[in-house]
Amino acid sequence: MASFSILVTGSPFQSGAHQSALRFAEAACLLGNSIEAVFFYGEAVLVANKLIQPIESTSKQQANLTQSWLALSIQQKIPLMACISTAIRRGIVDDDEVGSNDNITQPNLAEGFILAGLGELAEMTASSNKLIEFGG
Amino acid sequence: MTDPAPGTISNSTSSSNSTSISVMIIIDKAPFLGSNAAESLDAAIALASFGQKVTLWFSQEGVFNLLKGNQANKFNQLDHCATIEGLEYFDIEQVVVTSEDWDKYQLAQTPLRLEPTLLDSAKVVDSFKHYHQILRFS
Repeated sequence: MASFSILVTGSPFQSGAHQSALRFAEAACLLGNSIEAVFFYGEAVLVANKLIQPIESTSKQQANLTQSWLALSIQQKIPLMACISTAIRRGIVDDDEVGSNDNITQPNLAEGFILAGLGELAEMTASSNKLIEFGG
Repeated sequence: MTDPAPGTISNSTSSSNSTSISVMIIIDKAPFLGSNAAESLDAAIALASFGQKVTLWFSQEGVFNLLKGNQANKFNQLDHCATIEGLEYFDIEQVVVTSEDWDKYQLAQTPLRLEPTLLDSAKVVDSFKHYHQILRFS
């Protein structure tokens, strides 16, 4: 039984990074391994915007990527961490950011996600867990 | 020109710093065309500031980040490349360019922000085994 950390850097719109990472995580958990945390960096943080309406969500049969991450997070108790600096740059803000400038009037960080610093990524690389990156 | 192999895995003297993790970050995107190069540098500096031994490999068009003559203001952008001149202050001392890219992009003919370590690409690939993590942000 192994323990993994997952780093996602690919865009949810321009790559299959999220699908691959989700399938990997589900398979890993199914086989009795554990996922310590998922860290989203760069374009990957777009998935943490609750206002996006991706193609997948038009089908009621299929959960969209944001919902899939949330479901996995709840089911396996995995924290979903979006890099705070790259998220804010892309207009993804939490309660703490509301009011930090006049344009930020309400949060749009999706349920289940938290904004985290790069220190979390540093911890992931230093941890004895295997870090698996899913890029674009 | 020194060998980039950080060798921290087998180096027992690193026990005083239990988080002496070696990480290679590959930057293969040109500056100012999207934010990839800038955000890769951000991550490199963050990891270095947490005590990790970071090697930067500027690959392919990523080598353009090293040019001293970049004029970010023409794109109305912050010049993240200026950070490259100060990398040693963040304890990032290994900056690698392959000799193939060095020739292909004619880097000998232009002033650079710093002098990278030149290595054959085969040697760079061979050095992969020395790193705990190899990251390429996309």
